[in-house]
Amino acid sequence: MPRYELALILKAMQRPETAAALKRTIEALMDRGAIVRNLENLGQRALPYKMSAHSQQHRKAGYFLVDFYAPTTTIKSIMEHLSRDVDVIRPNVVKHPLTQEVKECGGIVPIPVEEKLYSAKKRK
Amino acid sequence: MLRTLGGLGALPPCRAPALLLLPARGRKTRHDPPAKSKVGLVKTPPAVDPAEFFVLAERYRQYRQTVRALRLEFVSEVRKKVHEARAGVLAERRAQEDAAEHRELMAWNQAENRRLQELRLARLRLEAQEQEQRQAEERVRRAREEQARMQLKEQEVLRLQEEAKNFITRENLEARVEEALDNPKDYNWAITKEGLVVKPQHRGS
Repeated sequence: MPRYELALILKAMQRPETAAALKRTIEALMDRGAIVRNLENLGQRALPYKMSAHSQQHRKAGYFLVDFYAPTTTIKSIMEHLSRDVDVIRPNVVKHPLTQEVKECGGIVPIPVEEKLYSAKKRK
Repeated sequence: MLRTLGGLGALPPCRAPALLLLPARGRKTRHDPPAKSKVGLVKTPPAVDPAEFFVLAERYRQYRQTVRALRLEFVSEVRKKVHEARAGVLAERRAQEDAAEHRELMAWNQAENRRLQELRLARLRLEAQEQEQRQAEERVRRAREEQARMQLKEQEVLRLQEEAKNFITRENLEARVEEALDNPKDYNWAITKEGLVVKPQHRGS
């Protein structure tokens, strides 16, 4: 099973409601056959821009990271479920960044400046 | 040429007119009817003198006999030569020599082939041995790699098993949620020119 990361943006709520929402989310994940590894809280902070979700507008939200293992076929249903949840502003599932291979940085490649400055079109 | 000249009416000046013109077809073609003056003409052949005729015929007979004999002689000579060339003694000897040479060459060829066959077999044996060696080495290498891979996988499995003890289950879900809410994590960081990593210190909430 590949390892995914759910970047969850939850509505700015009181602590018990947030806890309940998180519990609900993780239980939904586990119901669809995911194995949750870890839950991280990135704090409640101001959103970079105003976001609207479920006919409400938000300027503050709580950021959470859930990394889990899930079968590839269930991701779609997970996303559907999360999009229906009212407390969830923005769910995002990506492949876990730690599973990507680390590429050697090749450094800055010197580009010939003339090519970029002058267009390649033939002038009469 | 003479006809045209005759037609012109001019004789060649170099020739003396001692001979009469030979009877060649003059004005009339063969399809023209003969003239009225020639009606009732009976052409008789010239008279033959028997003695002269006999002598002439005899001479001709002898001449032709001689010529025929010579011709037959020459013809038989040529045929004899051809026969000699095809089936004479010399030709037979040459044919035997050719056959002997052919047999010799065939024997040499077969000997050569046998020698090369031996060399080829030796070479093939060597190659087979080398191939066997290479395959054995390949097998050993693959076995070693397989072992290394298995070891890595086992280590991975062990690592995962260790980490699995920290996974969230339905039992410790609430505790983990509370713990996460209590400890917010911050991934922002900056680096100075000296290479010192600085993390933001929160002055208040």
